[in-house]
Amino acid sequence: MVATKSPLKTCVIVIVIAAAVVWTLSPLYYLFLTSVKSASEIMASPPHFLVWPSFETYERILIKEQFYQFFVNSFVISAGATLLALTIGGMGAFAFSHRTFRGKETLFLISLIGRMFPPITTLIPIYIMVKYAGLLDTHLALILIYASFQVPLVLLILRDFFSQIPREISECAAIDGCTPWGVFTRIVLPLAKNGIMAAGILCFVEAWNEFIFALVLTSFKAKTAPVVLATYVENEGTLQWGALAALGVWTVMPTLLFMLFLKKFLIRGLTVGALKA
Amino acid sequence: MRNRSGGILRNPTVMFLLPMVAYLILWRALPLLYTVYLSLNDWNLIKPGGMRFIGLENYVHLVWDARFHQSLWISFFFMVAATAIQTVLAVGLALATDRSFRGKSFVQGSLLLPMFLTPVAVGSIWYILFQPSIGPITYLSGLVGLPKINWLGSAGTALWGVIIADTWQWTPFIYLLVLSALQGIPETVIEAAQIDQASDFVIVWKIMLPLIKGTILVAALLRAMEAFRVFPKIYVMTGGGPGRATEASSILIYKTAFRFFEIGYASAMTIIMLVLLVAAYGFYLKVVRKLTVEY
Repeated sequence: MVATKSPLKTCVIVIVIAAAVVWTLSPLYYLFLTSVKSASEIMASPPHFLVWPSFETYERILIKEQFYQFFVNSFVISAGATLLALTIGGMGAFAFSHRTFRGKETLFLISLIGRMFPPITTLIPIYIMVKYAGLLDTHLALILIYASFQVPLVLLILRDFFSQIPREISECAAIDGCTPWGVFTRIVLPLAKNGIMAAGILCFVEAWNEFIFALVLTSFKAKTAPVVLATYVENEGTLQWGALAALGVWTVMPTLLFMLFLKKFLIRGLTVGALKA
Repeated sequence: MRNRSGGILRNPTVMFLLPMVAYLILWRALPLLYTVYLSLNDWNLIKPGGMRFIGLENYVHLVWDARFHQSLWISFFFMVAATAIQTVLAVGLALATDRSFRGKSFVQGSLLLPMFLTPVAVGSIWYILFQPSIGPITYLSGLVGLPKINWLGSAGTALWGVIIADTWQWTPFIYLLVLSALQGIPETVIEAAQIDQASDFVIVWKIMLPLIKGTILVAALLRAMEAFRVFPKIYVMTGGGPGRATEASSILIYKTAFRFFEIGYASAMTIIMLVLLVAAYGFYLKVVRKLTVEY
């Protein structure tokens, strides 16, 4: 931290910070603004930067045209993938932090490689696998795939949190006759609630945001919010600005809520995930 | 390992690891190997005849495929420009906000926000902002006397439009990592320099930046690897156009596989992209190791 004394420097820093905040928040404001403008206000030139909000577009696109179902899809898929990744990754993280076995570090590093190569490198084979398994356009396919991206992330974050629980505790419980599974579910998991929360939120956000697999693997029934948004731009972009913006607002809503209420967990999980990798 | 049959499955450690290992092999390792195999085949999904093994022929074609080369160049240019701009902005912002002031938690929270948003939504936001008919950017740049550009509609500026949107979203990522590194510098180091009458300029350039150089380089590397495979923003904002001005490799791979259904050829492109990434990653890590400081 550099202490500032001269008023000129303080002034410059305040302007920089203010400019950065405006730059960051104004695009979101304009998105919201476009979604609550009437059709004629949207086309007004010069553009209006303040309007009396009308939520008629939301009602039309979400309820009457039934776009809400794609947000339900996104929610079901993200929640399912998060639960699956937490289960599989959590069990692995327990073995890596509270059990002893040969080749532990090597296996840990190999498991993380799964996250290093870009998802697009497995897009084509996974499309073919899913196609021949008859799972195209199902929620299940996306849940299984997203979980596979997230298992390494969960492993990384939860191993960190589980390691902070002293091994003496789990060893004592084992001596008292607790099975390894009991140690995991009754001692380690309850003590690492914050870590599970951090990993879970990050998984949910990642799954909610994913685009390319959802684009290739779904066509209608299991379409997710980002795919709907992208295809809406492609098909009606220049006609239905208000509806496009309303869908955009709904797509960013969950992450905005996480950021408002659970910022601590989100940032903790992300710093562990990025820097330890 | 035990000899009794089924013994290994009774070992609790194995029971905890097995689901994870099996899952990663099924969904990550096997598909990667399958990509390599597919790249050695000629396979068009919509033409009759199925798969035909052709060895390295796809790769030979790629050596002469100008469209593929151009896409690699666009991805590379995007990666370098976006990462450089974002790193400079993020380090500046981190230095500016690493002090105590009123509203600090609101400011830091706002500055981090874009990185959590859905990339497709970010693409849509900037698609709206850049529209000459309804967006504010053309209007505002007209107000200050700049030429009215149709950013996404002209070949010369479309890629820059995507870079701006990408910068809006991902500067926060580098900012977060640099900020946490700055907060890790011991207060005593700075105080000692201040006692020695070092100017703020010297403190920032000769003490703070060298101390966090390692973090900056790692953050930039992580960002560059993501930037190289940019897909959702380009898909939404330009679809690869106008013409092929923003057709990055990931877009070309997607089109080749799922619009032209050339599965084998697209797989070969994927493998080349992966090899380039791994090579760049190895080279970069070597450089980072040389430059990182411990304190």
